Amino acid sequence: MAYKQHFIEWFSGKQLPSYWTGAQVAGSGGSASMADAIDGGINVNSGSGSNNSYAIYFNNKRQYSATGSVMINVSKINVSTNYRGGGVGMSNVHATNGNNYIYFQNTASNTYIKAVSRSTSGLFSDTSVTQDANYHSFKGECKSSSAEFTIDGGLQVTHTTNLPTLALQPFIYADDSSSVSADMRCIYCEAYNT
Amino acid sequence: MTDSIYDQLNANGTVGKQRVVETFSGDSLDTDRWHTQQIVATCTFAPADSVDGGLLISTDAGGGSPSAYLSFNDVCQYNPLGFRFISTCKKGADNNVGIKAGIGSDDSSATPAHNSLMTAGSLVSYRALATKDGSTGTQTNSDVAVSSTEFVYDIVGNGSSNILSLDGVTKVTKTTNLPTAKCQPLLYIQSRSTSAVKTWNCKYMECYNT
Repeated sequence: MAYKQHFIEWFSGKQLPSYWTGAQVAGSGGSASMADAIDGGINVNSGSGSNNSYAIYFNNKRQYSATGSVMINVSKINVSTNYRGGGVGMSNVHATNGNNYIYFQNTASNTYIKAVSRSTSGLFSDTSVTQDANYHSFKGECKSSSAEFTIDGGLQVTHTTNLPTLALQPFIYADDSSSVSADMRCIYCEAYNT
Repeated sequence: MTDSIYDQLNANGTVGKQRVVETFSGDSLDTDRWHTQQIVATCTFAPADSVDGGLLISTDAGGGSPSAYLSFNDVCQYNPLGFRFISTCKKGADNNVGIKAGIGSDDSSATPAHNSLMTAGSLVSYRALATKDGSTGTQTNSDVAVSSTEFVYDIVGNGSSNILSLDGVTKVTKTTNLPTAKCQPLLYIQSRSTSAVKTWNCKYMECYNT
């Protein structure tokens, strides 16, 4: 069997590797930096203010198939209060304001972590995993006619509509909706074509 | 077998912890990941142009004990109460060298305040495990004499002990003066006794929380 594109990121070291690009999607003041903390990983910060959003991605180098790829991510919201957090997944554009993505919406204003997919319109589904500030393992798999969303080893949601059709790249974003900035922490990211 | 590296490293349903794997192979050191902290004079960390060379760690030829760390610039993501550090070491021919590698809380002095480090070279007669708990540092020798033979070593910390294994065999168990503060991976070299270039090679480093 031919080897396919495969990517692993540990988010451990002095700074974010240069093959990631950071971008302020909305507002200002966001950043991505290594967290000086046990199991700290990368800290993606939205910037403080209202409706700020910051993402890291591959600068639109889209090497992963919308019909045959897997994304695995271990991440958490680094907050426990009721403002937004962010998400992890794969997207055609650098954040969730574009079309074509799958991601887990890991946002403190929700009761449950949501599974999201989109081509021209988005489909948001609650998983059974209650939103919290703990690390979870997230696995999203794009198949030819479905998208599967797994959290901590258990399949949570399967979408058969609103599936992405364009090539994808990993992304991690933080998003706030108040004057308090939001952080997403991530200690692992893996993506590969199947 | 699963295609996922993650699934090979973590049991189904468990959430993985911080980990880093470095193979020290390429045209230059990954300076996004690694920081060179010079302690005395100038040392270098560069890929070796040799089979199985990995990273060549060298002092300059001057006196005054040139020494330096390769570190994460004090970004400390590893838990001294639950960690594993696996690496390789091949000492150069010159015995007048100090080698330390493992985890430590800082890279600003020859002995980090909190550390758990494999020690070799002329710092010791036998490969050893050195630990420090923030104030007191002690060292326990193995029964393996220092030499230029490449070896794999493994340090495991679980909160009650730090265990050094050499080539897969448990050699030292320390239960006192163990580190408690968050740590980073460290590779250290120090020229000792003579004015000449001293070296050691490392071709693999893995560190993870347990």
